[in-house]
Amino acid sequence: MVVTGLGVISSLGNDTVSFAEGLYAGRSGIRPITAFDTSGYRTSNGGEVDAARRSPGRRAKRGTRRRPGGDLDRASWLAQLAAEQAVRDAGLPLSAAESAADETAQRRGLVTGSTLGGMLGAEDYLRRGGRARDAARLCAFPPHAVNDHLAAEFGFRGPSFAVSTACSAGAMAIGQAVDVIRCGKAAVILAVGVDPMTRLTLAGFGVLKALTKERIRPFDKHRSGFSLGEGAGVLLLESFDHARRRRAMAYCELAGYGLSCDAYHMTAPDKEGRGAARAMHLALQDAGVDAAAVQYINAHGTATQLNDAAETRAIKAVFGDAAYGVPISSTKSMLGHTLGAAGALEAIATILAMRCGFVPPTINYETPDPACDLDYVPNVARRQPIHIALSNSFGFGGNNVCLVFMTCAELPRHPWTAAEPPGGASV
Amino acid sequence: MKRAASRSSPASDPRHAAAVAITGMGIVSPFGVGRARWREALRAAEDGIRPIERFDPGSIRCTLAGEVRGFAPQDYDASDRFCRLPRLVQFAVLAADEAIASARLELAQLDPSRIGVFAGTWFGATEDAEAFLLNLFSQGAAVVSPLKFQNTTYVALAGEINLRLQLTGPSVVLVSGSTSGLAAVELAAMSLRLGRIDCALVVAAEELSAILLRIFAQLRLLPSGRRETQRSCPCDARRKGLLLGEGAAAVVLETQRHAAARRANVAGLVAGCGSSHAARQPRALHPDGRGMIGSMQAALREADCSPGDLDLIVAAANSTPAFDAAETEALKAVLGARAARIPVTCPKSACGETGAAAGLFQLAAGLFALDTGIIPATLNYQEPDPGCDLDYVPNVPRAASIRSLLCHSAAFGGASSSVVIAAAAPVRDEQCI
Repeated sequence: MVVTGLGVISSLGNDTVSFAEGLYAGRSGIRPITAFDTSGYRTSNGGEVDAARRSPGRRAKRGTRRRPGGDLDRASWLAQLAAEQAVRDAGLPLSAAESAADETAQRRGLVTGSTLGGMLGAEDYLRRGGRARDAARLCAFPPHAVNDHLAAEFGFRGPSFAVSTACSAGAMAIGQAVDVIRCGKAAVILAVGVDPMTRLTLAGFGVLKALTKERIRPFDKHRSGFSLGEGAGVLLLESFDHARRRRAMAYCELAGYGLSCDAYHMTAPDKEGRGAARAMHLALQDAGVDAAAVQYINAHGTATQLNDAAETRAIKAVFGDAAYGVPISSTKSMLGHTLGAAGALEAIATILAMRCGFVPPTINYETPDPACDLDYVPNVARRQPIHIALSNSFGFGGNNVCLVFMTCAELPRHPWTAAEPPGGASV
Repeated sequence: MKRAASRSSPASDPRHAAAVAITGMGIVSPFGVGRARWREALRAAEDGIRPIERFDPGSIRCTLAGEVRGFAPQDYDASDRFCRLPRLVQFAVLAADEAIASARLELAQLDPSRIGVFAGTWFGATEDAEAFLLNLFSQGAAVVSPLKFQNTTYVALAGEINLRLQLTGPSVVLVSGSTSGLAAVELAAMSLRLGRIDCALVVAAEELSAILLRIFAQLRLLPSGRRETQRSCPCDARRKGLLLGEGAAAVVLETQRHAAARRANVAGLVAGCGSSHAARQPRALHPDGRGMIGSMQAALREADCSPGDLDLIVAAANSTPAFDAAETEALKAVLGARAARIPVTCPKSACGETGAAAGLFQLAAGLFALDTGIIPATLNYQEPDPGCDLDYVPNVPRAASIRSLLCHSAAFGGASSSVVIAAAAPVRDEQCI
């Protein structure tokens, strides 16, 4: 299947163009958190989306109806903003009314990955003492509320699934969407990864000492954990036949995915990286691609001591000596860890890197670590054509997902809406 | 009552060549732990709804629920690790253990990377999430518990089973509301069919907690009248709202080839699955059940099954006025003239609304009917409702020969999932469900 539309809401930008420019420039989206008071937390920095996009506010918009008794949940709102971009980008109808006239709406589905869903509503509900008037927001607590909102907004009446596999949820959503399309249950899927910044995760990852008090520096010897981020990434996936029939233009092919579980520890990765290696191996096999053909790896790269060393080992296990020749980067160095959004935003970063012909850098990189001795594209993006790329996402529970993207020769290439791709003329 | 008569082997019906075999089951229900209790209760038309014992409902007027009464984790596994798990994960682990045992899966002899875990829940570990957040708000971020944080994640539901059974294949957690159970079956069946795995453990779980009861009361989803009028009576004219329940169920799914190679007992075939969405704001329910029709039709289509082939519907009706009527409308639209002649049973009448677990409870009720030739009854049914005019198998279990059935679930919010189960009967020497 092919990727025909993308949408981004992130600390690096709120459309694919500014997102790609941010990645190319190696900008950091990490700033002091403003959504809530962070005193007493391990860190007060994070990659938030800009305040104007956090809630619908008074935006008068077709189809956007407030939930009774409360505002639209932030996860649903961020997802909607990104999904609107993706649907428009793919040239599909934007409103439920337009979809209603369209019999194929039943062949359009949704798969959302989110760790937290409407957790913000639950936080507010409990902070204010559990009043009945705050309870309405809890209708949006389970992550499927994001699907419910998007299905209604766009009139997608096909299969709708929500997955929550912690830090790999966004990538898991994309992977499950592959199966839904391959089994012929839908022709079009909006694959969504979304998560808001919450007190729960800032406190929880803080007490696990997974959060850094400094800068997030993946693969660096002095790495000390990640910063949290928030955002939404949406991919519009389409069966090849459906895309061809409607003369759609494609960013690339989503060639395959692989899943595995470490079955090692609930919160720590297997030091040997065996599960991660198996996910990569299965993804390559599913895509029918040799490891030697891979030209870029978007790493999970959380900047924890354990993850980065284990991921490096896993890459060496899969790629052998070729591991030293593949550029690898962690875009979390710029975005922070956006949890359920991470897998989707990183998939989009990978696709944009392929579309524009550059390898995003790993920023904040200073001191090489003997345990992490591959090419992490330190600090500066690299111009380079990429035809086959891999995106890794690992999560709590030892949950590993790996996606493979490949340029698509059979369909016209998706037009780039910016005057110029980042870094100059298209490769 | 005697078992349903002659059955064919799984492969004999060419329509079901791509179907997936169900070879084991485990359950923790309001009737108690284990499938023996489940079968006994369905046979006797027991009601699992009783006054809540585990906590004081306080000012909440609705005090009835389908609670797993007297459940003490140390009776099953005294380890610290197990006893500190959230209640729903304990249920899920026990159901998974039982499912593996009943399928007689020798995990040590199988490739653990070819076994997937597909778990589903609606609300997850509400008790631990509440405790973590209240602690955070009262004591500050420095003193919160890392274990409680880990427990608040939905992924812990599958992760704990992967760890305990050392399964290294795909591990997926569905949070699609009360459709999560049947949706997990659908995703597992897709993985099996695409050859990603040989075998899948599908599990769905929900826990009853004081916080959940309070929120449901505040959202006015529970009946709030006098105790005598509070009942889970799906499709009955007196229904006034749902009663919460809890528990977990697990099933083992395998490709037919894998099941045959290890000479597994096959309880039934997952012949077709389908999902759809109502796509409607702000409240998702079409009164005419339009959002549910898509999933039922998709499941029937995938199973190559016509309404005339169905012998039983296991419905999601949960005693909520609009929901039950909408589901009945959807069934009538899909089944046409056959609708009046196909029995519809509503397991939530006996267990309450058990969220994600409900989908697998429905599957378990369907498998019971397939196996014993007894349709479990819809309990508490007294006053017919003109808006719900199907045959709901009121109050008394009924003997019937069942060969194909449809389970349907729909979530608040508009998602809907359906599964068609077909009979399969290689010679069995032991009950595996």
